[in-house]
Amino acid sequence: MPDQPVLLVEDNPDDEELTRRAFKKSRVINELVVARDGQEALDCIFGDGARPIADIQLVLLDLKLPKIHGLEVLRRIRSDPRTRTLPVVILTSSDEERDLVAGYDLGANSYIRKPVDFQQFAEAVQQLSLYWLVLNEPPPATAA
Amino acid sequence: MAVQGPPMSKPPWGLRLQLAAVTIGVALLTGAGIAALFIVRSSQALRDDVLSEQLATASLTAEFASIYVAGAQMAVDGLAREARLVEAATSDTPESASPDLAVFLHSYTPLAAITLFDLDGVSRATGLADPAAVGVSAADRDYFQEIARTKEPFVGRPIVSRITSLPVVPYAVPVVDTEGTMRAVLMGSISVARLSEALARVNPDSLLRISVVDRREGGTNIAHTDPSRLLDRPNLGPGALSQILAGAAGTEQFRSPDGNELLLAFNPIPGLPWSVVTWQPADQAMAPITRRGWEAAAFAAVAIVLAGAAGIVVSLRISHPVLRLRDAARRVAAGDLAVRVRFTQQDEIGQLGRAFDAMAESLQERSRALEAANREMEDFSYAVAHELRAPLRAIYGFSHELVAEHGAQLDEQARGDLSRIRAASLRMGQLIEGVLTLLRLGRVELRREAVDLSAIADTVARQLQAEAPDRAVRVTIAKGVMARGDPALLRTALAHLLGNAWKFTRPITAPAIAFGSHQADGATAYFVRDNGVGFDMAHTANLFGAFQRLHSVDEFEGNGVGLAAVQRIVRRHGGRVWAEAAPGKGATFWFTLEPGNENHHD
Repeated sequence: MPDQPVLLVEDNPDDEELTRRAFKKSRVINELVVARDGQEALDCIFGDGARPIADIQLVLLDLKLPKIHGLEVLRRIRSDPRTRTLPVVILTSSDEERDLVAGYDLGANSYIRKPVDFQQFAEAVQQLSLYWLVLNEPPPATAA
Repeated sequence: MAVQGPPMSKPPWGLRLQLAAVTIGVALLTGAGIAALFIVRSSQALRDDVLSEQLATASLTAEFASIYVAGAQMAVDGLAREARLVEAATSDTPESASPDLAVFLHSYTPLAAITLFDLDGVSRATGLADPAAVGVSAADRDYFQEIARTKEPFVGRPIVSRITSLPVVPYAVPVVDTEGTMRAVLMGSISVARLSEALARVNPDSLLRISVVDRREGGTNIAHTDPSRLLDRPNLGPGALSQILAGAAGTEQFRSPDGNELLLAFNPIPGLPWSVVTWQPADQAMAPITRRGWEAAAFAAVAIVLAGAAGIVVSLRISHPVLRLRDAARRVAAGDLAVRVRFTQQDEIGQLGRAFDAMAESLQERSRALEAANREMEDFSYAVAHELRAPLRAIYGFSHELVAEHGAQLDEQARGDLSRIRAASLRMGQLIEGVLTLLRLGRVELRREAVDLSAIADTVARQLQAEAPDRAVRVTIAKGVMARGDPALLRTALAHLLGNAWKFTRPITAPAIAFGSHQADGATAYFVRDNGVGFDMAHTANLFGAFQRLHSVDEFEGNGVGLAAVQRIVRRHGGRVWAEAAPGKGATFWFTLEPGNENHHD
């Protein structure tokens, strides 16, 4: 289980780098796969031949993405029976109410706004990785 | 915007009902009034006509009766002067006059009898064939006593003849010899039955009754169209009777003892103590007017129906568009701005409709413009929320990492600079937060409900205390301060105001905060007061503008949108916010939540 990758969907390279560092600080050993737009994210999840889908343990999803919007990515994840229960944490700049509502409506597992303060951000990443990667027991159907 | 229209219960007297009621009422009153006036006027006219006709009949009848009696009198007068009668009357055999009297009686029909009396009042000769007519005494009769006294011709009171048993009026004249001495009395019995028969012939109209009344001793019917009433007392009511007995001429309407309304006319007969009375039942006399009255009533009813129908048509023409306007206005109030009534009529109603349409059009345009502006604002704040923070995270994050990973290689000043960069980016983050807060306040839909401001203030104060447990602030919150407004927005406003008070009393030794309300000019003003550091009113020109601060960030933290947010919230409720303060003497922030006419502090 610990070697299953986390998919980070993030188009901003600065945020990508900061997220990487935050992961490193929280001693997450899972591989961090990065998709830089919505299309790439879907390819990663549903396979363009590179990886089998069941590998991904957690998706960290930004919303404002090139090509395909984060919410649309989430909708497709949830509408596919294979990824219906895949944990998806929305990790975004926005605290707009409509994003929050739409995210939860589409079945996001968590919604975390990235704070400006890096220490807070690092703490948030640490907590969510502890929770989703260590504490949380995934449903047996998708774990197989 | 779901603006609720004013509550629209069905009015008890709708426009349509009012107009119809007024029109029908006016038509009814006018029609009934005209009909009544017509009936009254024409019945008066007819009554006057009928009465004057009756009076004319009475006068004519009086003349006829006068001639009838005068003819009989002249005939009897002439006979009394005839030499053969005088000779017979003065002889020892006055019965010798009888054949002449019989001839006279036969030739003069108004007389029922002609009798010659001696001076003792005993009949001595008669024109009647009946021998019993001779030797009868009339000494007790008024006419005999009168003529014995005055020796002048005299019309006696009507009597029933002792000889013929017929009702008669006796006319007695003296029979005088050549020396001028009265030697006998000749009496003609004027037949009132014949007079009655003649009256019946004079006026064959069965409705009209005629009588001739002898006015003496309470009145006696001498002639009557009903022969059974001969010699009876006239049955005419005391008022009319007293006038008749006084010899007056006139008309009268009265109710007879048997309950009938009678129209009465009476006229005295010249030269005789008699009067002619004519009368007829009022309802029969007025029968034509009753018929005409019904015709008028029918005409009025038709007019009322027509006027009512016309009124209803007119009121529908007025009320229909008014009701359409009302419904359209309700729909506009409910938010449907696409409604148009499109009246085509050229009158004021049409103008009203076109003005309404123009108003709805302009409202719709404004609403569209507002929606567009709101959408742009929303897009803008969405972009701000998503895009503006990311660079700050990078600036903060990497300067943090620089210190964390390479702090040892940096000198004090470099670390200080990096710390400033981090502080500035955090501050920028707060400002963006503030901008988003203000933008959202403009977007959120305003609700209006009863809000317990005291309860909110209490909760906010508890939260402030919980966040700073070491502070001891005396908080006084007035009980039961209520307002109508949006609970969430009002909570935000109170949180800002109480938060400010909490913040600016920090350096004070005995900090105190109060919340309450005050009634002025019928409006409620709410206040948050503190005894904190206060500020100089000279520097408050833009106190409620965004990012305006009276204190440095080092002194008191904050992103400078608190009061701007309060002002937005208060203004969205239609109210105002203002402040009273002095340096070192605390500050009081006032706000209202409804449009008022107060104009202090602005």
